[in-house]
Amino acid sequence: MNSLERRFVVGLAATLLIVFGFLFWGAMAAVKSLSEANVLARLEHDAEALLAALWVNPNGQVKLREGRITPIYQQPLSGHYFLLTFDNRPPLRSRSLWDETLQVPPLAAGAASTFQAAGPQGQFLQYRSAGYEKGGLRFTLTVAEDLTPMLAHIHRFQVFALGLLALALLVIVSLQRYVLRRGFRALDRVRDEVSGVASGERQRLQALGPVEIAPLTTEINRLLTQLQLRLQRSRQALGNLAHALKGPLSLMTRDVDGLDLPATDRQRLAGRMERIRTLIERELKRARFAGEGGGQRFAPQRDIPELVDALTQIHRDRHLDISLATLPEGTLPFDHEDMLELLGNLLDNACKWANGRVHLQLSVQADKLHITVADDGPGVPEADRDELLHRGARLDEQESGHGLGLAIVNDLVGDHGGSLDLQRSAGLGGLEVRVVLPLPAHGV
Amino acid sequence: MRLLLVEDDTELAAGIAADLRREGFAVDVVSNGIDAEYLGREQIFDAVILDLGLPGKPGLEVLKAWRDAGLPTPVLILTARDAWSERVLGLRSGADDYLGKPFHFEELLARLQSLLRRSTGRASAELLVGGLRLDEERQRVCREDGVEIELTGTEFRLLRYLMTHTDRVLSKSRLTEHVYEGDQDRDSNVLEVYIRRLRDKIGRERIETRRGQGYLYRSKS
Repeated sequence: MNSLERRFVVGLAATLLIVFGFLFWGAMAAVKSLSEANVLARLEHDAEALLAALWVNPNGQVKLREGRITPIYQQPLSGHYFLLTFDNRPPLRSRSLWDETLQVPPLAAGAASTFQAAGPQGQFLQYRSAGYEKGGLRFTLTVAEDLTPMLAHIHRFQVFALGLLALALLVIVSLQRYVLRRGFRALDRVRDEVSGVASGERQRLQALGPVEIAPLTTEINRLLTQLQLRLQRSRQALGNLAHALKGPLSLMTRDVDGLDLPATDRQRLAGRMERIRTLIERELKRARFAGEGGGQRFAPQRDIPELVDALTQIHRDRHLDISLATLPEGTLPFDHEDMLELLGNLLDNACKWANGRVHLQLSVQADKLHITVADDGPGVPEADRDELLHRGARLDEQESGHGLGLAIVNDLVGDHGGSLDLQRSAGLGGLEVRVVLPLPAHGV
Repeated sequence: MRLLLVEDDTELAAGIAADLRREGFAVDVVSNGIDAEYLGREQIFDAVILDLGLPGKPGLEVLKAWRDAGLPTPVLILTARDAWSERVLGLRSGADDYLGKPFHFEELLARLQSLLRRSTGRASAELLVGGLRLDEERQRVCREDGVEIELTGTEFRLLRYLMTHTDRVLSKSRLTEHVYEGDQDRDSNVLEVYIRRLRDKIGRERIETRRGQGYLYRSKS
């Protein structure tokens, strides 16, 4: 997933690793060279002290004045050693060397060299070797110090520094992640509200979010308002058109009803009027459908009881029992008016034909809304069902608008990409209309 | 029975009013929402036929104002705005029935009569009180002995009002209000003349005179 947070954290960690790596490498190099310089300086001082302690006794033997030598050179294998080698005399060794010796090449007077090499008992020594000439005596003086304690120190420091850096890395990354999450929390609200808009729970966004995305949310709000206004306006305009058309049509219907004409002529005229009426009704209703992305969403538990109340009132004299199966909770992603039109027509039809009972069932299964409306009326013979749906035919002239209602429902179902089918109700015995509407997919 | 017809299309209003008068109703016609609200509050109408798209004040607001003021008069909404969402809204705002335009007058009449029956507490379509049967379609009254008596328009309206409001003292002014339309002559002497004529036709004992109060129609002879 393309997550901003993940990208930021990975980037930050990589940057810190590189910076810390350089820092660590630099610090370690500095520590090591400092310590080595320190050791070399001490060796040089020791060498000078040894030179000062050096004397030739009356027998011509080369001796060191014991009191002037640092005691550490007397302790066996203490890690501090010296060695004096002569051209024609036996060498002089520090007592600390015990029975070991140091392998050092002789150097000419004035020459000096420093190097590191293995020493006795697995020690690792820093050597300082220099050639001298004192009172006609030529010799090479080598002083050496064991580096292993210092190296162990450096190693411990290394481990400590590494731990410290790792801890710093962890703290910085988690701190930044926390800061980032806090920043994103503002976006979380916006995201929740956007999905609220998609599911129809809200009409616009309340939270605009931080300045970086405020232009985006403001624009979304503007578009939402525009969309709702447009739907409202076009519905209003259609309402006005319906009003304007139906007034004269009502007058004409009245005129035709009152004409003193032969029955056949009157029927023909009435038939034509009826066709005009049906056409206007159907097309105007169709134009009002919001389809996807409509205005207010359909909330079954709020809208259906209101509709059933209205139907009960309209068909009050018939004393019908309109029963409801459990309704889905919350809102469904369909337009409130579309669904009222669909259910209103289906239920009204059922009420007109029912003897006493109408049943409505509404359920969501596998991303589809299933609607079943059944009545205990006479039903519709199989042969007539197709015609009923497609031509808006009225099978019974006494029940005004009967077929028209179903034809409008059929149009609506078609607009939503759903299906409608008619059959005999197994439970109630009358007509059963089944509508299946796919739930429109929404982004969140 | 006196009806208030609120309809802004004057031609259609005149047509419906004429049809309703032929069926024996007194009809007052109003073409805007403001007058409609004012007149409706007078409580002199037995039912209101209300269009929704009105100039001045929208029909739904007029209806809500009436209901908020506790006006019990049955209201039938007659409108071109017949989407189901609008029907639900109309009925929830206090309408008693809803009819979409265009319509056949017979359907309007049938619904109106059922509305009036309900508001006067009658269960059956037939008006049968104390042995007298009123034939609303032919505007005649049928006595127990099977004799049918022709009635004039005003006599029919008066008798129907009396028969739907039995065993109650009805003042002259109330009777006048429910029998005559707005601009007709309201002379109470004329009412007395009609009462006398009715008594001649259906029997003197059925309509009692309460001096200074009005008239009373007995449901039991």
